[in-house]
Amino acid sequence: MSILKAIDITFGFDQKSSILRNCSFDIGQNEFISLVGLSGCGKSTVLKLIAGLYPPREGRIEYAHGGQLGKIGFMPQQDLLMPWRSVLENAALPMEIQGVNKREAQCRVLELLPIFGLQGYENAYPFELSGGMRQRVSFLRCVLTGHQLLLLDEPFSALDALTRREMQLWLTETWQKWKQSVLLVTHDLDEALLLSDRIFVMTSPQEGPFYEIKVPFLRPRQPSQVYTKEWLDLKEKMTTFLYKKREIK
Amino acid sequence: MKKNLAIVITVVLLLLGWEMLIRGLHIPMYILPPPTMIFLSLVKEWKLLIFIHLPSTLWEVLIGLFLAVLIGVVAAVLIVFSRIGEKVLYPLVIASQTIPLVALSPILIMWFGYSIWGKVAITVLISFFPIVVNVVDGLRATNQEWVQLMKTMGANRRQIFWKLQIPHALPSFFSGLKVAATVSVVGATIGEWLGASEGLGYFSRRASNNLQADLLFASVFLLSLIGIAFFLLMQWIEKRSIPWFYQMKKIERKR
Repeated sequence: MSILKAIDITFGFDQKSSILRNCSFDIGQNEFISLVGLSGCGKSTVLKLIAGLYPPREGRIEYAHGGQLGKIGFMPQQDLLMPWRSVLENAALPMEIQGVNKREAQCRVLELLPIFGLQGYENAYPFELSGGMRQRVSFLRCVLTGHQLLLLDEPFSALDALTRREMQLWLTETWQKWKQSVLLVTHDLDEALLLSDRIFVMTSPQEGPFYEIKVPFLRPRQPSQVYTKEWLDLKEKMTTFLYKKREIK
Repeated sequence: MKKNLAIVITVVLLLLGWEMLIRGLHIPMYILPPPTMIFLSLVKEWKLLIFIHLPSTLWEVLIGLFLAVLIGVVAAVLIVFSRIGEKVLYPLVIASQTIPLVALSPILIMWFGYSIWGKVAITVLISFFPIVVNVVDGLRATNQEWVQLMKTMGANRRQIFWKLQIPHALPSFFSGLKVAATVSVVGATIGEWLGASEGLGYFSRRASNNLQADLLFASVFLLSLIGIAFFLLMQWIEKRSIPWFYQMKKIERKR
């Protein structure tokens, strides 16, 4: 069952050029999908389109839970934590906007802090935390929107390689607990293979549906699988596709 | 502590140099009095200065600064959130700073007489400007990514304004407020020069007309003390209102 259907979407910031042309896709319930593509191809724009921040020029997006703004969780590339709010207040922001009682909202946050490795940091301010911790607060804030679909815009790209790997492993272990669907934008193919059920490969401009890869590996996946032949073959397939398309252009 | 020591030493050296220069060159007192003479006249007239003239100037500064904050913040919000405000109000606010206050004084006296309000008007006119400029900059500096994030959370314009733009603009508001607090003393003094019956500015004008340079400097000394006190007061309020801003700067400096 799909919770979001995009039908024949065309979008561009001006009339002459378009990032997407007649592109259709769907996101299933409890599904983890990655959207990969070369830098500047418009991956983040697709995410904002789905979030409801831009209206598509043509086509429509059907979301099972009504309108998109205020109904889909969004995690931006930079953590965008408010420096005047503590960890507790930052994570409670979406619930505050939804009108949830303040005490109740903060209770929810305190409940989840240990899972996000932030126990004891509820009163810390963002600038006192490391980059990895800030991203975790940002992710917690996204999860606490309570929505069925979460959009993650390169959440780990600002982190160093070791922290990034650590966060990816942590995400694979924890995301299934929330029964939420995830669309993750990334340019790290290993990250996509490690985390997703399906991978959308995007080209610039994207005409028609995305090139799609179903990830066959069972969960839980191990980082050591990165060196297996099936893994490398899939990676090779995506890389070839991405660069071949680029040469034609 | 070390910083405080440095300023004390500097001031003492400056005063010493001043004193010795005047005594050495035999400069007449009505041209420039030595610090000791200023201090003596301060002591001689302290009752008059502290109980009559100081309070009346203080009131003008307090009321003027309060109104300046009120008017400045409202004007800045109008400028940022309405097209007419941006196109019409902002140029007018800037133009208001070119008004030659001295030329305006007869009119101000006709409007307000010798009451406190003429002085308050000039104080407001001078000190609302830094507040407007800083609050406008602070409100405009809101990152668009942040606004988009709040929209995805379902925030309406009011929530974006109160939960994002206002707290985000607070540090620049306080920068403006510190400047405004300092120039508000200048405003009150100018107001009193133009027409008053009491106040440190009035006192200094009378002293100046009588060539009592020592008394003139004594009142100027008190005026600058008010300026410094107000600046420190605003800084104190700032540190208590936005402690996160100071902590953040401290940590960023260390990195």
